[in-house]
Amino acid sequence: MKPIDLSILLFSTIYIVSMIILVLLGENRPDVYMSIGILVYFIYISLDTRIRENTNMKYVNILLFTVFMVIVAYRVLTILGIRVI
Amino acid sequence: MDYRYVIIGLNILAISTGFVIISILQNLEVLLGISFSVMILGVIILSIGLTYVEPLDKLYRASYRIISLLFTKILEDSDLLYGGVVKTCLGDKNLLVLSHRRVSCNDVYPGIGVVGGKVFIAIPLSMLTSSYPLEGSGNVIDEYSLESIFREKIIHEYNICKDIRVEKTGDEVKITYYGLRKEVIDLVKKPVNPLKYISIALLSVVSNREAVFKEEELVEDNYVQAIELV
Repeated sequence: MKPIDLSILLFSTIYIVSMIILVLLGENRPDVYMSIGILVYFIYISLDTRIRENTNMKYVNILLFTVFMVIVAYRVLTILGIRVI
Repeated sequence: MDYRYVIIGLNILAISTGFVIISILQNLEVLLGISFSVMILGVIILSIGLTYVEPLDKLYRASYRIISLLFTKILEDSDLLYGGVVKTCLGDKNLLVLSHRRVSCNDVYPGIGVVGGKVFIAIPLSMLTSSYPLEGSGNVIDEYSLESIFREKIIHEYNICKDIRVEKTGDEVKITYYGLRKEVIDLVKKPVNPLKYISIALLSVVSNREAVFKEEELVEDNYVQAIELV
């Protein structure tokens, strides 16, 4: 097993476990699942450097960060009472 | 590229897309959230598969073999391969010096040179201790502090062995490496032993004293070095 295999296995396990926890908590907002998933990804790659060292995730990181920011902005606007959709 | 992860990523994407469509048609919000998050997982794994490059270990090993061969030849031609003195020079120069006999630090300079008709080779210490100057270095003389610094560098940073012990008797420091990794044992057996140079450079830098390599012994996977601080 290559070191990257272990990293991906661990990351996938943590990711799926966090989703299961959200289901058990009775969460039904789709954006929460996505934002937690993106957060798990960023936290994991900041702790385990093997994925960053052996891959080029620049564009995926930009994409995921943009999605995350859109979700956060949407939630903030909803709290402020500004209807966007 | 790692095709295994490309295939896994594409499979996850395809399945999650199917579930997204089903959840939109059936108006199932929980399933939609899970499907989207699994889709993100698929995108991440697919990207890892597409952009994965093998670590440079193999390149470094090949480079080491070539450089080691050249350096061994230089040492052989300089008559420094077996025997000779390995010492450090501090102050302005900060060098590791390989010579026939003890030479004055005033006479040496980086590279290959001649003192008293005999060849010496001098390597900057900064090339041997990757993060130089080391944190907490300078005038560390008690064996517990030395052991702690060696443990951090040799075990946690370089992953050379399982355990390390540093004993100090007067000016002589005995370093014992327990459970050397197999690849490191092969390196230690070679004429150009990087562990010899790294340990004397590290000891000299952290204790802020010049050092002379005395002796070494490899017993199975345990390796003992004796270094004198001067």
